[in-house]
Formats: sequence, structure tokens, C-alpha cells
Amino acid sequence: MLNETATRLQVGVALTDDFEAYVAARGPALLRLAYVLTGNESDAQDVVQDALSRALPRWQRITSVDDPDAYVRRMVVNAHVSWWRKFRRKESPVHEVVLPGSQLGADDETVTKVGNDELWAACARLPRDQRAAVVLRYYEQLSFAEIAALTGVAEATARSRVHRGLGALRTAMGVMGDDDE
Amino acid sequence: MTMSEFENKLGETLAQRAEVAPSVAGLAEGARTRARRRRTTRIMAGASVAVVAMVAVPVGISALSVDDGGGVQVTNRPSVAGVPADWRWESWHDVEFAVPPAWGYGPLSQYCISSNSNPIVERPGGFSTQVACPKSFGYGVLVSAEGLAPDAEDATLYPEGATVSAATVEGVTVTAITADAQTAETITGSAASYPGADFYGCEAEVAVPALGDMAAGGDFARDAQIAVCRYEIGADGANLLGSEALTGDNIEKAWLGLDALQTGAGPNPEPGSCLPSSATEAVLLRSGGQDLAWVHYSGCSTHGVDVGGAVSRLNEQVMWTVISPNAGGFVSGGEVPLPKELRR
Repeated sequence: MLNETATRLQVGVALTDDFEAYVAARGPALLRLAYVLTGNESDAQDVVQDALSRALPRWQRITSVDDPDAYVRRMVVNAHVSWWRKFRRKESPVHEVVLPGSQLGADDETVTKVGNDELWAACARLPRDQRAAVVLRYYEQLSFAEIAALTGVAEATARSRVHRGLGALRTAMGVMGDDDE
Repeated sequence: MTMSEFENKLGETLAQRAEVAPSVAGLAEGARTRARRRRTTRIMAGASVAVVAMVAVPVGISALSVDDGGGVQVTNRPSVAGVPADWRWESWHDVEFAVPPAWGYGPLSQYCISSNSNPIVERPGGFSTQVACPKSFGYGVLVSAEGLAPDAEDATLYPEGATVSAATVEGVTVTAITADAQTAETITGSAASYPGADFYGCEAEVAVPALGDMAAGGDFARDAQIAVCRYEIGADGANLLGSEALTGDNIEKAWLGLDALQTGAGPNPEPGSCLPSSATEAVLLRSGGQDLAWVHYSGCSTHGVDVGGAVSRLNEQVMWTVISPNAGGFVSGGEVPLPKELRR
């Protein structure tokens, strides 16, 4: 029994070190992903911290069986998509939107920034499942199959969410150009 | 602007925004603090439940819940902060969550269901009735394997004013639909995967021994708690469908059923009728950390009770024990000796 306890304590130390190292290495990327998913700092910190706190008690299992990064990223994405956050936070901050098309077409830096603000605000208005799919596709550069695996849906569903989200963004931005896909 | 140009612009915008993400400082410590808050001793009041479904061939089993005020069990398992001590724990595959003790079981995503009904827990499988009505949800918990949270487009299916809360763990989504937000968030906040065995001592995945292959256990204390672990048997092993702990008089009744088995009578005859498309289930009874009996009662394989070293035919008393109130599957009526009333 004594040996068992000693072994467990030693494992605990190693796990803590391992966890710290993981958070130091991957924390910034997780926070960036959470930020573009949630659209604000406090929610991003909350989502990542919650995901890590749930992963910590199972860290040995996660690191021995799974890819810890994939596991934690999945928790972050699902925490964002899950309804309890939506219901807990009745309001989401949304930037004021410039009327579609009113500033597009100009090429100076100010107008580009306004265009980006507009696009960012349009992203914030997407349904959460579509926004997650769009972020994973165009920020994380994941394939449809990878998005499907990460969000636990069929590949066709992931593809549909991306396309619907993209369509909504183009409409919001007043972009009526040719599809070249 | 072409689609490619728009996609590039979108990627650039997201990348620019990501650069103002918050700092990682304090993240690990914050996560550790949250994790520590979830660890305390968990005390669970045993709740055994109710009802009755009478049998056709095959028989669908559903149940409603009544707390019978069974014994109190103290475990060494860590608890989840904010979960009331008298709540009941439910498992499905490698995920467990807590619900109020009086909640029952049955089809939550029911047709014609009333929001005035007692809240219920629905696992994957089972059945729905009264399909002439529009589909709707009552209050309770819905467990789904797809890892999908409810869609906002489904909002009209829920009771007016309900709070709908979902948590996805290991690809399993636990959705709570309640009249108040706190109950919903407590349920989904408790959802987690468990290491080794669940609250009642049932493992998420097991290799089910064929009838006659179960290893004999040692001595069993006849007053010790008995865990009822219900599994769906697949090609690659068996996954936990539900679990509970027998307490009080139910322990004695379980032993009476096992004592009544006719040793040497062998398994039941080969099933003459079965539903190949329905899941094959078996129940493992465990006591004191040891396997007490494997009970095979559904599907097209041979039925019987294996107590380690001897195989016997099913009897009504054993079936009364193994059909938990949380069961929602099918058995072959007529070939499986079911009691007149299922366990409360």
C-alpha cells in the first residue's frame, strides 16, 4: 500500500509538470482559437480554462491514449457550441455593423479595416455551429473531415455548415461576386 | 470579389483578430483551481425506482420514477461541486451525470409528451409511442451518441420557457431540459467521463464471457451492495448502457433469486424467436468488487445465468433484479420469464 501511494504521488508530480508544459506550449493557440470562436476575451479565457480543468483529472489517460491537443481543442469547440453557454449568456457582444457594401471596393487602409470589422461582426452573428465550422475551416485551416471529427458530426454536415456560414457572411457583406469554387 | 478572394479575406480577418486573444498567464493555475473545486466526497442516497410495463412479444420496457428512500451509500469517488448530495448518478458508455432523485426514465423526445409530466432520463435506444402527435420534448435529460447539442431550430419543440442546457463529453451529449436554469446547469456541469468504473462500480467497456466461461468469484457478503451493470454487446465488446446499486431489501431479493436458480439445469433453450435487429443486452451483477453473475436475457444468443462455474436457466426473480428501472430495451417475451411487475 505504501509503494502504491508513493507511486501515485510521483505520477502526480510528473503529470503536473507535463500539464504545465502543455499549457505553456499550447495555451496561446487555444486562447486564440477560443477568441475567434467566442468573440471576446472573458469568454475565451472561460472556455479554455474550463476545458483544461476538465482535462486535468484525466491527463494521464488523455496523454497516453489520445492526442491531448485534439482532445482539448474538441472540448473548447464543444464548450463554445454547447447550449448551456448560450443560455447562461443571454447576450453576446456584437459590433455595430456598417451597412452591407457601403464601404467595400475602396482600397485604402482605413476602409480595409472597416471591412474587416464588418466581417468580424458578421461572424459574431452566425449561429454557433456555423461559426465554429467557419473558424475551423478558415482560421484553423482544417479539412471538412477534420472539422467533422472535431465537432462530432458527419462530414456532409460539417461541409454544409461551412457553406451556409460562408453564404451568410457574403450576404451580410453584400458580396455578390462569382463563385469560383 | 470571387469566392477565393472572399475566403482569403475571411482567413486574414480571423487571423488578425486572433492576435488580440488574452494572455496565457495564470491559465494553468486557474484550471487547477477549477479542477480542485470538483473534488469532494460524494454521498449518494440510493434511489430505486419504479414501474411497470406489461409484456407483449417482444416487450418494451419503460419506467416512471419514484424515490423509495433506499439506503445511503458513501463512496470514495470524487464529487462534482454544486451537485446536491441526494442526486442520483446515471451512466451511459463512459460518461456519467447526476439528476434529481425523483426523476424517472422513459422516452423524453416523445410524441404528445406533456411538460407537466415528471422529468425523465432518456438514453439512446428505447421507443416512442403516440406518433399521431407532433414530436416534442418534455422536461428531463436526453443522452445522445452523436455528440450534437440541440439546434436552435428545434427550440419550438421544447416546453415554453424551458432552459435547455447541453454538455458534450467524449462524443456523448447530455442535454438537460428543465424549468429552471440552475438545475439544467448543475446536470450538464456534472457530466464527465469516469476513470475505471462509474459511480456504482460498473466499467464502461467489458469483454463479456460466453455462458459458462465466467470465472468463479470468492466469498460474497450477502448484505453488501450489489451493482447492476447493463451492457449492450457488440462485435468489439460491450458498452455500458446503464447502472444502479441495489440497496436494502433489494439486495436480499437478488440473493433469493440467485439461490432459486436450478444448478445444473443448464442454459435456456435456444431462442425460438428473437429480433436480430435489436440490441443484445446482458447484465453483470457485481458485489464487493467481484463479478457475481452474468445474466444473458436478450438477443438471439443463448439465454441463461452464469454464476461462475455453473450455468442456469433464467427465473423471474433474477429478471426482477436485472431489469433496472433505467432499462429501455427489448426482451423476448414468453422465452424470458418476466415478473408480473418490474422493479420499483
